Amino acid sequence: MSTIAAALLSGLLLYKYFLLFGVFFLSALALPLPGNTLLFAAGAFASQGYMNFWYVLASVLAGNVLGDLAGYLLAARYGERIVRMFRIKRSYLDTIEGYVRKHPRPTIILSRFGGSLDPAVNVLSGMGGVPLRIFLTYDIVGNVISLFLVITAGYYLGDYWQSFSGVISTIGWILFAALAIGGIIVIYRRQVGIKSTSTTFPMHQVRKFWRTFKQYGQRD
Amino acid sequence: MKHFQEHFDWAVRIVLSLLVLLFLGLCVTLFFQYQRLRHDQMIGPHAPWFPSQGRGGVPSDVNLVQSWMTYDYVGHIYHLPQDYLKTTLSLKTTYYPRVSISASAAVQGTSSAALTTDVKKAIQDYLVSNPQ
Repeated sequence: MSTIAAALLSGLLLYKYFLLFGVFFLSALALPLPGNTLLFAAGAFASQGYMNFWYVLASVLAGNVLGDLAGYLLAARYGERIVRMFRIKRSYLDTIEGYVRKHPRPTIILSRFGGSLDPAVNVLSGMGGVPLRIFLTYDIVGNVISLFLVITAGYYLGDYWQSFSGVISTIGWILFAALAIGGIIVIYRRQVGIKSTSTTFPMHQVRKFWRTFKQYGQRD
Repeated sequence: MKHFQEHFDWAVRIVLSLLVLLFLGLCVTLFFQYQRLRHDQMIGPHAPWFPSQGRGGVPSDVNLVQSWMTYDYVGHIYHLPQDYLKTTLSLKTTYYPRVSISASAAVQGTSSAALTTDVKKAIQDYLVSNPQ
């Protein structure tokens, strides 16, 4: 277990819900903190009667949603200025922003399971002009589901949560990789000019193939 | 339906496929972790859940104690009397029990590993002398 994780776990036992709120607020603003390990542990502490399950969920949810909202609002207010300041290539950003604007619901919900991807989607939603109502609704829905799953896992493992904490971290990284790969594919497809809406696999491709096949058949 | 299909494009399909694979991987991992716990006899073959918690809800495995844990928490999970660890280990810290084992090790002038071992031994002694 890393020194940071150990220090935060000590802090969790001392300051309970306040620490959870603070850590998840900062995590939502892209600070690399071991949130899932803490959440898993908090679930186990709740099963041991040291913490309250619903207070854990409420404090983490409040911290995460407020952090997400702060990221969204800061990006909406200062995003363009930062892009200009760091001379970030606008075409890449437009592609991702366009995707988030077009598909805000699945993007926001899925990113809540992706750990480190969460703050990036908040920023892109803010910059891409996703309506606040939609952002907040799907942020809360995604957060409730993902946080509830991790807390429940810790709760049911009880005393032996430490044996599984490595698995939870690994899952977090795999989810992050899966969502990041999905994002990269989207960027690539947009960059090479393949529009996702025109490639509703498999029917569109099948129809195109079938038309070509019939044309060749008629020619013969 | 058409509207749904338009939105359900390649990228989302790929992500969902990866999530399904991940879920299957998680099931396999949990299964092997469960088998490992069974092998280590942390889980009995017939008990639905951890039987070591059966001693009035108190775990019998003192190896669960880690240096980042506070005395308050350790006392809570092993049902120890309030000042049991303080008196047994002659702890000097003024913040007892709201202090971690590693933090109090510095005050004691010892390593956190050595103090954690002492805490485990003290708990073991208590569990042996106070069977429930």
